Amino acid sequence: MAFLDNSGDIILDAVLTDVGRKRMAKGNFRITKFSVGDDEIDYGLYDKNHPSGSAYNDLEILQTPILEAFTQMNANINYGLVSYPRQDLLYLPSMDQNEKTFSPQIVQASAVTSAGGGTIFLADDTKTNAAGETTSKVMIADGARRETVLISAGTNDRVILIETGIAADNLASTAANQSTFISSVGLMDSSFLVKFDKRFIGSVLGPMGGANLANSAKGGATLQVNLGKTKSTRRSRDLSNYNETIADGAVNRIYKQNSTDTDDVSTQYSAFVGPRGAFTALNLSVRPDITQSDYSKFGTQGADLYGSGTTYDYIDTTLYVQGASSNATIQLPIRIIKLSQT
Amino acid sequence: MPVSYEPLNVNTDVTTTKTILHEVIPLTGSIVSGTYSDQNIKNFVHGMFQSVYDYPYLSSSANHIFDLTAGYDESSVLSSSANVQNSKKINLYNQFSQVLLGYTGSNNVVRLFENDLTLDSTGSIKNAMIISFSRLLTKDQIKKGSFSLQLGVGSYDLPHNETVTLQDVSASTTGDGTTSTIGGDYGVLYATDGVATGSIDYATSNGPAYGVVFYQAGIAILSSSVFDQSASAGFGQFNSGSFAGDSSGSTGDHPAIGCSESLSSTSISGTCDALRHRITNLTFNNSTEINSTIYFCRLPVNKFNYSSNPTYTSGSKLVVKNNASDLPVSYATTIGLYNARNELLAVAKLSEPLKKTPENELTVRVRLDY
Repeated sequence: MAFLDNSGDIILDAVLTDVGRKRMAKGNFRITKFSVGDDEIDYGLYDKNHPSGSAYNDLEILQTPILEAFTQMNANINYGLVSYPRQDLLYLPSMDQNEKTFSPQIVQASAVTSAGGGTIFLADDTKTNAAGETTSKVMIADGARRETVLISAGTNDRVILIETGIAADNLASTAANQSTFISSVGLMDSSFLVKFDKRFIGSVLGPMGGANLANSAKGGATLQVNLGKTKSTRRSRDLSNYNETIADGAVNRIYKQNSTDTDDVSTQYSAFVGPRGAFTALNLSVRPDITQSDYSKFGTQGADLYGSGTTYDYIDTTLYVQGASSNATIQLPIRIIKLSQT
Repeated sequence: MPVSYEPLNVNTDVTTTKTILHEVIPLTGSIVSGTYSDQNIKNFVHGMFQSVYDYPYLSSSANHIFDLTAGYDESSVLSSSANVQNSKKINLYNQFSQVLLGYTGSNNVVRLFENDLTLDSTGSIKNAMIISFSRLLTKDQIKKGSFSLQLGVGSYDLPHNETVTLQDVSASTTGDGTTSTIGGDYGVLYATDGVATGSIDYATSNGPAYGVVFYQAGIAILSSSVFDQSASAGFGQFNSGSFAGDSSGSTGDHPAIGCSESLSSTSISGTCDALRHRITNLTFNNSTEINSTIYFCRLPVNKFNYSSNPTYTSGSKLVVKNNASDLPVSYATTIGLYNARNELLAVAKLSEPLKKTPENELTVRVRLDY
């Protein structure tokens, strides 16, 4: 893909996408809205303190060469310009996975590098080997920690806990700051858009109401969440082979207990050091009809991940989560795993 | 994909236009005959026409540019069952005339090509050499009034020492000077420039007519009279020696012969070879009708001022601001056009980033051509 000529007037290079051509062929090509992208821009080049003045702040950004348009629908605007009602925002919430240990419900990414460190194991316990053992039990016996294994379709088991918040240590994680920097400026997420590979994941489980993540009376924190199947699942518009669904969110009520404290102990319970926004909790249900050949085609078979002699089959996939109001996003690597079978 | 969408109002933000694009198509005679030693000429076993490419046709770089063939009506004096490929020559003439002119009378007699715009059975072209241009060259149609074919009318060995230029001088893009038939519009090819030779003064600015050009079909019909009517040097040598081929495309040893004799006594490909040998220059403008939909994508002052680009924040703080009171700024590089189901149907890329702040409003005009 070549760069566009930027030596003269500003020109526009427009192409139909694959989907556009398909819609054209079907006779239902109808454009009703637009969005704006800036994928090529590295805002790190913005020098807001340029010694020659503000006219030079974006000198390098404006010289960014732009690539020609792609025809794949998911390769053009991965990160777009967004509109917020207020123009005085200084902070935008980001999203992170909470892997704290205060609650046994919280799943953590694997720390065993050789076994796929950094990924979340999603154990398919419906698949057993000749001994009839469930995958998650054998994994834990092998060396995986219980906290690192998410059990497929478990409604009262471990969950992927996702938070939004401001990762700025100069802002205290108080309720007042939560209101000032998140709630009152319309950045509190009441729901989250979850995108998952429909070839391997049948459904997403999200909070069913009454979810609570808050300081506890004993000075710690508590997580209460019951999961159920999310609704409004539909085909993803921008990712091939993906479906998207809506998971409910709730206000994260973990705050710095005493605003005058030097140390903020609440960081033991939240992924963010600054004001927290919303949270959601997720689990995934592995499709029951994944075949052994799918593991061969899309994943790996017979891997001795822990050097224990027990072998596993697995498929790696990615889960995308996006806040409905904050537009904050996170990509979570997921490893669908089961005991080896033939 | 965390982006904001802005609706397009079909009444105020969308419009359609039609533009005509013309390209100049110049073909020099050396391409048609000479440069590639006829490796760009494809003959077929059936011997009914000859394809001309702009490069040796076995190369994947070659483009088909036109086909050549020749024929006559069965009422022509040349028609004889003793002729080489007599029935094929008649069939080819009929095929082009029925497609381009259709039939006439209660007996559905196929019309004959004529050297005029009236189709009144006078000035008939009964012996024709036909150039059928590839759509790659003509696109939607040949631009009326732009067709020019310069032919060498000198001796066989030096054909381009004397030339005549045939042009559709009376035709105009408004349709004046053309006639509409079932095969589209056609204009008459007049001799407009050349040498005074024999009984014909080719130098006349609007001289005799020697053929017609069908604009939409991209077909030029040349009357054999363009070569036959002069007794000057070379006209008895329209086709000569090894240049006259047989139906299989191989060469033969014909004596020097005139155009009519070539049409009757040599193969179709042999006559095509001789015609190519005499094409000095060929030029026309093609036309492409472009229907466009223009979308005015308006970025108002209070929208699209932030970005979800991961580099836009550092520690959740906007990298383009020092204080909350500073204006946000973003840089647009791409416009995505969506349907109601949020499916990305078209993408437009700007050649350089456009700065967007709450102090400016941008209107990006995206044109989709069909």
